[in-house]
Amino acid sequence: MLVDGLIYSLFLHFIFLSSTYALMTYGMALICGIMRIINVLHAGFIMFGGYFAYTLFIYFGIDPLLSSIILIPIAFILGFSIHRVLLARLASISMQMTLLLLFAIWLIAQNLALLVFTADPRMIASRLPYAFEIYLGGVSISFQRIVLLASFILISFSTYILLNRTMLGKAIRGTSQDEEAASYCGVNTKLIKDIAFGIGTVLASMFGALATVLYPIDPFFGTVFQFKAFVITVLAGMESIIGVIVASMMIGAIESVAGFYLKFGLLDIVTYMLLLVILIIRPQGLFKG
Amino acid sequence: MYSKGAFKTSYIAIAVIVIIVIAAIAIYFTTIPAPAPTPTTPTPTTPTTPPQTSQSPTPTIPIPKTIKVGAVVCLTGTNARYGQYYATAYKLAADEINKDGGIYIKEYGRKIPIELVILDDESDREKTVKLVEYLCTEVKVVALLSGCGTPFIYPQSSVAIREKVPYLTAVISTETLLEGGKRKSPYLFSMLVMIDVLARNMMDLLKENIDKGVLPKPLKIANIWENTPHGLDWRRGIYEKVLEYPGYFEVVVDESVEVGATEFRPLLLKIEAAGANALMVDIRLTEMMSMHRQLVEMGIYGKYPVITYGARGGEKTFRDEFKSKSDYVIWGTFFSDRLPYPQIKSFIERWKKVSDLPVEWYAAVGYENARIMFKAIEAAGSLDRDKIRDALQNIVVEDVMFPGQKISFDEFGMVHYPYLIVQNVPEGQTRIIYPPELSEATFIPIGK
Repeated sequence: MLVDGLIYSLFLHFIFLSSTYALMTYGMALICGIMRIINVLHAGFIMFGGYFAYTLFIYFGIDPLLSSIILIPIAFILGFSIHRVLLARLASISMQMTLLLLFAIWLIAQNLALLVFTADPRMIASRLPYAFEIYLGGVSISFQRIVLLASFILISFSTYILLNRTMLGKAIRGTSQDEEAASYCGVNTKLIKDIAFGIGTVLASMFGALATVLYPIDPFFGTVFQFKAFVITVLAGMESIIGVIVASMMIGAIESVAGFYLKFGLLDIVTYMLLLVILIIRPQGLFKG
Repeated sequence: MYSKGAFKTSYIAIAVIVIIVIAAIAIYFTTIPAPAPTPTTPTPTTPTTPPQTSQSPTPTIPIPKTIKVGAVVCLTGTNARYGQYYATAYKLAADEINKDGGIYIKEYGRKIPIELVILDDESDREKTVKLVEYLCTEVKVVALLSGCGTPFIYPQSSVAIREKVPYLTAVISTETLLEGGKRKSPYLFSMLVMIDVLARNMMDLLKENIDKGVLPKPLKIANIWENTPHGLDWRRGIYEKVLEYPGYFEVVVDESVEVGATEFRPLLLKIEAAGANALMVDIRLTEMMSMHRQLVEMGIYGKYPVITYGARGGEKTFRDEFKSKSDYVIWGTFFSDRLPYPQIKSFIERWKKVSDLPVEWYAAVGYENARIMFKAIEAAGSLDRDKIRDALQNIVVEDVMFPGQKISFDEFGMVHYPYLIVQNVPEGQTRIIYPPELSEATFIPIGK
């Protein structure tokens, strides 16, 4: 019976939930680390990726996994252009205005999605070739979750390698830590910021595309994920990939356990209370020195 | 450091992006016909001679050329789909009256054509308030027809209350009409039964099947509701019947769900652990699809004899996505073209002549909304707003397309007729299973 494997089932849920949360947060964490503001356009990029994957599947039969790969150059150019053309100049003048601009772009994107796709939710999860259930230790899990977990591992690994084992990654981290010092070392910090924003956009959009294997999408699709990503980013301490993973696991654990043992409707309150406590005790985040 | 050339390039790029966005929007609106919110043109006819009596009214005030009835609906934006239905239905109802010269107003001793003033709030709640104010104060409509959905009707109703204009809404949540259990205003009415009625009807259906031995007694209910006034109404309906039928039901899980929730596994595990055998859920479509997906994923879809998502469950999106895994889900509605009412068949034929939109319940609701209001204006015998309000309060309209075929308003401005409860069956079909006098089939538990 399902109930006999309750703890195990909750544990599996925790694993899958944590990996999903980490995947959805990478983009925001990277951009936050570089720009020092919360990217409120993150939801827009997730929504963009979701509709991109949905459209390619419906009209061309292209799997969301493949769509997420096709999305990489497109999302990168989009993010790079937005930062280069709109944000870079504004960021040097006023961070508050940058935030407002990001919010304005998000509203435009959302309203465009409403015009084109309407508010009706769209779902393709059950139509995918790997939309079947498997039993892991007696607990039924959709294979899509395995796919998402595998994507998380691959993307985490790739992002870690990019940020920690490449010159570009060093430049990004250096710019994030001390822009002036990085520029003295010959780093073109303006270009690095553009690139980092592009990479952050890729990560967010890829998550949106991959999320269609499980979730329905609508023009408000990214909003819920954005709030969670914000909490995790702040908990992690911005731009720390390891921090994002650990913070995601914290939130995943809380939601898995609290969702069962406490009132389900209080989950968000519990999550935000954790954020409050961490901000009071360690405002720089758990993994930032 | 960016050079001056780079700055100029930025300006040009910004201008190009703005032009592209504006062009895209302009192309969209020019390729999709956007109905202009023009009032219905009264068909010129020779006014029918009113019945002559020895006391024929001799109006001493100028006779208005038209009866202005207003509506602010979402012709564009998020809710455009519903707005198109309502506007078309209102126009259809008005055109049918105007073909005979209009509504007979006793005070003037003649028929006066209806002038529909339909405005587009672009699915914007701020705009909807301003437009309703305009209708009430500038256009001076005698009555208001419903907007599109509670998020728009609720702010519109506050204007109707303030301006004292009778407003016939299509809401199913009591928050629009009631405050602290009391009626907010004698000017507000709703022609749709409240969602708590659906909950009660569902429970009546389940009780019948418990008596027949189709369902176990007590039926262990997991009551899941969205954390909104709508969900609270649903919850109230469930508990009223639990108390009314002692021993029949046991609520083993009673949980709220926040709007936007995506993961339901811990909740579903809780429901499983509690030993529930009936899922009574009232959440929004997006959350419903996530929840059902995870229900299927966990392999427990066939374990619950009863699954309902309230008024949800018949959507094409849901059926196309889940196919056989959406079979035997039960849901509630006000209207079905399967009802054996001749007025429904007639309406469908007339609707098809004026619109390519498939006949869904919004069409019927819009049409009846207008028809009821026009009858109230006639019953009032005057274009005085207060008299129309009183006429609406006392009116009894026959041959409506809803279960029972009759509508009248109680002291709260609400109506009372049963919901239709429909069950999904294989091959994408549905069957009406409640109320008994209209049912085509009996309830089939999932897994049987």
